[in-house]
Amino acid sequence: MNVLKMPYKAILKMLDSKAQENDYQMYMNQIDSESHHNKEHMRIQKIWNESENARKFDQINVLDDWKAVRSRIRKTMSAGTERMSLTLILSRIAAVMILAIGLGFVFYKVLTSQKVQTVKVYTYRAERTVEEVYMPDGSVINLNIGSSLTYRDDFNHSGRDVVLEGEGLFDVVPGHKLPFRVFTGETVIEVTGTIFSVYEKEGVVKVAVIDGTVKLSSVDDSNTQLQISRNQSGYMLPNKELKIKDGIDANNLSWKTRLLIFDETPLDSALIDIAHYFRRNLAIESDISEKVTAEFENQPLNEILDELEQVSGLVFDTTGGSLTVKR
Amino acid sequence: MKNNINKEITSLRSGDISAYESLFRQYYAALVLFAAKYVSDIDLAREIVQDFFVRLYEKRVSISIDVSIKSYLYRSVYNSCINYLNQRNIHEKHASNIRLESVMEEDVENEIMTIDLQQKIFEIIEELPLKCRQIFKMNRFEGLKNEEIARMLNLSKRTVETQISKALKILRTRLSGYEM
Repeated sequence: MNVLKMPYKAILKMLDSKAQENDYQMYMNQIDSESHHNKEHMRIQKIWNESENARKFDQINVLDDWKAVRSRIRKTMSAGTERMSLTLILSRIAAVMILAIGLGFVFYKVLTSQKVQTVKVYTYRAERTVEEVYMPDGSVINLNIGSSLTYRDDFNHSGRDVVLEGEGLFDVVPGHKLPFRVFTGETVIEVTGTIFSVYEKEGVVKVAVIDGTVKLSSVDDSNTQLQISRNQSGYMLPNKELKIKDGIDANNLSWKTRLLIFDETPLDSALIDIAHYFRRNLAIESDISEKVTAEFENQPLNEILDELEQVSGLVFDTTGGSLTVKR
Repeated sequence: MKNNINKEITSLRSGDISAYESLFRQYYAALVLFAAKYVSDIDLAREIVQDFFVRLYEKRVSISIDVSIKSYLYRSVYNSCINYLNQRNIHEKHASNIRLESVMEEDVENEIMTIDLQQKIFEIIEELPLKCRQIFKMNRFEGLKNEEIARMLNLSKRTVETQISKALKILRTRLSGYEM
């Protein structure tokens, strides 16, 4: 739409109501008395008047208010789980650690398991920080850095299936008629309402349950299921063998809790946890027999290694994205 | 347009928090000003609209929206205000009902259109060139006279007037597709 040419400076004088008689005359000389000019004058006048009222938008801090709303959403979504201390996590909720490969295959299978319709697929990836994903059923999933989560837009209608690549902490809403299933690597984890973390890497699946029960099975063979209960860890090895053992690792959820705990832990095991937490490849080039008892909360790698160097006499090298241990 | 409507509602249902944030950013301020018309208090209006956005996220899967998301948001906030006023009236037995009764459907529509126009104007002002924006805001938002603005910015009065008429012209041009 073309906008009529109008004498804006003259109009402004009228609008500012400081117009003198001769200003008014000058203005009238500049516009003709046709109705479209009058209408245009009315429009400009309206914009002028409303621009004063637009000031109200300047007084509302949308960003701050969004933060308030977002934190209330977080609270209601995690109601009943609250902010958890590590002890609480370890004693009250179910944690599942999974280690696996072979994503592409399962991904394809899950997402195409129903007739091709106009199904939209959502993928979330935690690029630089741990991300929280709020699911349509109210479940909350924390994704570790470098991990991704995929689900279809009919999630919560025809099923509650997600595909995980990497590591995640799942807070699944209980009492739902549809089971919540995590597809990762070559496995399926089925839960009916619990919190669990998942980690998949390099052919091994590890499941550690702290409370409640989850079922672990191969995607190819759902008849062979491993039922993992409170304070147990289950594994699927690269040859697809399923194994179970009592107990769980204290540092399963370090990436989420930012807490590394070692209690008379062999130093080489501790270094495996530290390397995993900081996403480093670990190379141990010396025999290690020491044990370590320590807690590190939200500390950078160099600080932790400085402390370990002092008590162990070992030398750590962190160049090139690796963690190399020498004596 | 229909596709757009579906897209907004689908992304609301998906639970994608960043999509929800964009929805919030787009409508929140306008909804607060809209609510403030009825409850006559900006902080109360903020509270009502924030409560609404928290509730909406919680029940996003179960709600049925058969109008545009915009109509849905305004309608819901309007209802929240009416509920609030009704409840307050129960507590304050002698409070008059005049405000509620005088709210006609048409008034609501006009109110939405006015706030919508103000928001568009505000967004355009925010995108004006720096000097132009500063001068225009000093005049319209702070109520300063052109002479005062000229003195404060060490400019001639003529320059101030030129910048203001430039701003007004940009506003008019950018709002050319807008029904007024």
